[in-house]
Amino acid sequence: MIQQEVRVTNHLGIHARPASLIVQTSSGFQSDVWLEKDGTEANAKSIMSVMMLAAGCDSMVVVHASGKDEEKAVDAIVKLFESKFNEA
Amino acid sequence: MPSFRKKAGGTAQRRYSDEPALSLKRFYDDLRRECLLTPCMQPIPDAALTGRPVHRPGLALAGFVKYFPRESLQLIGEIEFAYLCNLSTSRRRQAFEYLLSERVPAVVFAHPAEPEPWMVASAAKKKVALFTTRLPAEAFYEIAGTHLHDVFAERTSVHGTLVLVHGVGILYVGKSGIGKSECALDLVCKGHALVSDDVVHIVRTGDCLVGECNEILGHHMEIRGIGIVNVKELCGMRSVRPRARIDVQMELVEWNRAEYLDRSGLDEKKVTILGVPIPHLCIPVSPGKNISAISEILALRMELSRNGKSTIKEFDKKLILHMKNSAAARGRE
Repeated sequence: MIQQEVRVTNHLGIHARPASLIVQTSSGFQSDVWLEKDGTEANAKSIMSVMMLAAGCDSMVVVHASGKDEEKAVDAIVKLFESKFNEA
Repeated sequence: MPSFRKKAGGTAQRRYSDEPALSLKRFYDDLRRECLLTPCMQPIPDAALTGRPVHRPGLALAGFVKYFPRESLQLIGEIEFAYLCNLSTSRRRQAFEYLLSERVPAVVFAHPAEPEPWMVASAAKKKVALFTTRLPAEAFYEIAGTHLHDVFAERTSVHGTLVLVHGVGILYVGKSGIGKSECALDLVCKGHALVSDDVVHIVRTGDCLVGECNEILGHHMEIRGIGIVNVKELCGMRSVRPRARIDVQMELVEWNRAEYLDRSGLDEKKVTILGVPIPHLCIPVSPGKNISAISEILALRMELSRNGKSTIKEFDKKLILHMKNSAAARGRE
């Protein structure tokens, strides 16, 4: 299992559209992908769980994955966060 | 049975764009009962109507001939006829013969207008058909206009299944054997209505797409493993509809394409049929998926959004507000 911490930098936080992007991206990998915020874990392949995190702007989220392509999966999700989910 | 041309995306479509124009004889046969139509000359001259609407040539008779639609069926009603009768004999002849000189396909005199004998003779010489109808001009205009509109409406056929679910027309497309018919069967068993299985003929009326079943196939469908069943006979009249508006296209796809799916329902994809855009959804099929239940939910959700409600947008607003509030609370700490 590998993990990496990222900061939510887009203005609106992880609302429906970013959540949808996260789920679409992580569903493309075989590994299990999780997001963790303030001790709450969410399955990154389930949009309801991801939205439940209510990760607003400036909050910290830990992305972790375990499986064959765990590295690629974490990389891809972290990139999404860094690109601000193509939002402001 | 039309033959299909495969298009990209797995949807087979066929356009009837090279539809021949409607011959006058055919037009007469179609409408003579309904419009109480009588030809003023036999045989009916060989001419054809196009998709242009019926035209009342008042302005042309009065001398304004710019923009005169010469391909249109010309309709002379009480008003135009009263105008002609008010003219001197020579002006009247000149006005009427203008129509003939433009080689219009036909002139219809609506009740109470009647062509004078010289008009018939002159039209016969120019091979322009004259008809009389015992309907008033407004009634003829409506019936003939609707008929021409139907005949010349844009059409296509799609390999798919159309079911009316809670009043919402859902067009199922997807590869053969993916389960379109089985889904339709399930919906019919739940009390929804089948419009057409396997082949859906689509007509564009205004900005609406109306789907119908094939005349020969009717409401028969093939259920793999059982064979051909007649839904109308088995499940009764309430389980079928002759036609329905198509509100949404649902494409059934194999589960392994699932990574491309929209997961929140925020982005509405569209598909364009005959120039009309309608919502398009990709629904993955896998064991344990109940497509008919999904269809019912989709239909109800479409009804809801027609009333201006969007669940995901409202949910998103709430979520963003919640995040803002907790950020503000953190800031105070």
